[in-house]
Amino acid sequence: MEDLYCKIYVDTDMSQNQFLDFIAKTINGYIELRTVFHPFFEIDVVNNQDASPLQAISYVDGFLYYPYYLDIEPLDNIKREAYIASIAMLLMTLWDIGSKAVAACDFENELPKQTARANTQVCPYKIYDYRGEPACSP
Amino acid sequence: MAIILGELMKNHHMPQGLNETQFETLSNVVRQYIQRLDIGDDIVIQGSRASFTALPTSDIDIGIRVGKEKFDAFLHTRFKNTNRGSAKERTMLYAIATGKIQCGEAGLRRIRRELEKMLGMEVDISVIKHGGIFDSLPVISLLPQSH
Repeated sequence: MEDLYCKIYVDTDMSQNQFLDFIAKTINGYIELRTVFHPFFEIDVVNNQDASPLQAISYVDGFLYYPYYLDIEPLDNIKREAYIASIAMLLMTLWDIGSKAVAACDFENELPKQTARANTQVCPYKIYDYRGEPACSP
Repeated sequence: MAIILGELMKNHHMPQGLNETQFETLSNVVRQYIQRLDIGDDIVIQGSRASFTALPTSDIDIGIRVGKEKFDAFLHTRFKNTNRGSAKERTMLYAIATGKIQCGEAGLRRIRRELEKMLGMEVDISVIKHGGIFDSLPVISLLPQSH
């Protein structure tokens, strides 16, 4: 069975509560402790215990040292494509506000890349934003 | 004096900030869940709640300590579909280097959330390799499972 768990490392100046609010607003979910609930998936906002501002900028694998990561898991009632599109939208929203965000999951090659988005907004398939507008195309 | 010392010793087998009922419930919930996954039964409280340096906002760190072979086998299972050169592969290499498989990658997110709801505090639960950099003292062993 495919593992749809996904971790997104995030570098942002927001506090954990601000970040939780931001995630909740972005996916139209609600917060309980440090989890944001959506009808089709759940996101935990975790303080990265290995966070290090210096290592985050000086190492090739600097994202491992970002101050937060998101633990994301789908619920049973979501289609794979819709779930991955939701994560893609979340990633692009984070990039839009100037945060650094790197997804680490089995399907990360199906997600948009930050460098590509900066110029051409290339995605593996068409992605729509929360208003139903096309946000990113192949 | 002996009575006070006895109470202190007794309390130091309890993680800071948890009462006996909470610790017993936590122990039972974690042991039952972990038993199903067949990772190991050497499960401990680590970090500030074990060293009695926790702040009210500190999380509680739970480590499932396993030997090298078990760690490698579990790592292989959890990262089996990892693509070469991917961020997930970097995460896997980091887990190997540190001897720690974090909660999400270990498939322990649901139990973490259940514990957080139960205790009203942040919980970290991960798989720790014996002798790795996160296999550090002091620790408090979880209570044996009660039926």
